[in-house]
Amino acid sequence: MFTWWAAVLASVVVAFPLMYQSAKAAFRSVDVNFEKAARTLGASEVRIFFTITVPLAWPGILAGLVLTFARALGEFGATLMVAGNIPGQTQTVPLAIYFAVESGDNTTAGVLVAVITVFSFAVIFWVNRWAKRRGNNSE
Amino acid sequence: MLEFQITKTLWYFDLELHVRIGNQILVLWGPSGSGKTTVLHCLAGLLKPSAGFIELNDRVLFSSDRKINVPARLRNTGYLFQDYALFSHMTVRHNVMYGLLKRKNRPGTDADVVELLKLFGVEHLADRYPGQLSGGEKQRVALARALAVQPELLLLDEPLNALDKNTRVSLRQEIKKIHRRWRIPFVLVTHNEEDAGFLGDEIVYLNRGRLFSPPSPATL
Repeated sequence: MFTWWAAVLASVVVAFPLMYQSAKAAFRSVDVNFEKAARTLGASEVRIFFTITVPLAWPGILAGLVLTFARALGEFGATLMVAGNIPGQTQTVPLAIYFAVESGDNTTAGVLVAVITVFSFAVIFWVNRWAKRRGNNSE
Repeated sequence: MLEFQITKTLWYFDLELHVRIGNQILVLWGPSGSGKTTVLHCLAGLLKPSAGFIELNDRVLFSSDRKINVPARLRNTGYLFQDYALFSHMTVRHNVMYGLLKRKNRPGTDADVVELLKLFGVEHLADRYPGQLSGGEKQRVALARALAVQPELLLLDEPLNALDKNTRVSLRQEIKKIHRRWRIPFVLVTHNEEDAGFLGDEIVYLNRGRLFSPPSPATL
């Protein structure tokens, strides 16, 4: 409690269902015939998982990661409860914004909002570019 | 030599079949839903028959009496899937190479792959992805991949189904040619009478899981 690990744990707990759903859908979307074909070609189940299933499910897994990341980035309630708001230790950006506004420091809050917005856009931009490059390859 | 006698309980009927062939092409001919693909899955080890046995060149692949069920990856059978099931995230070269990498004693080399692709006239496609191939090209690549592992038995599920008439006729001849070259039993599934007549050394007619005596070749 009230360490940065607690903040991590809080984020993981609230974001996990998103990852679970996306990953499940991604794994389900892999054509079972690919796995069957690999089996007849002599591949072990472990090899099939890493060379067929995961690569083909990867776009979906990645989408889940982005969702999870976004959810964790904005996590507020659970973090405040279990990790508190100790500057330099457990203070996350959303908490810092909240308390900055509370204490009337709108400049700090504005800067933080700008930082987190730019950062989010950068991540999404990079992921999209990566996904597009990959898509072009396999077509 | 391939001999199998299998029963398999399916949703709507029981599959019952006893066949024995040499290094010939056995055609399972019958309407959709007659259990043809199930037979191939049982032979490949992707499905477990309810009872019976499967023997390939004196090797027991499955026996319900002796509780033997060799897993698919050790059966050494080539399987050509209806939709080809080419790995969409790998190039043609890596698709064909996939089955060769497991062999520790004689790892497959690039030269083997190229030679095999040449045999099927698709060596110029080695660095393409399956999504960039036509139906006939996919078919040839899938055949090359299935045969790369030097199988003792080749299973073909509706290999000519999705192709236009010209490609169909040329591939039919190609399958015959490959069969003569490889000299292993082929089991081919089709619902097309003409293909069955052209390709089959042995033709069995399958309906609702039962075997019917084949119509004489002359009527086909």
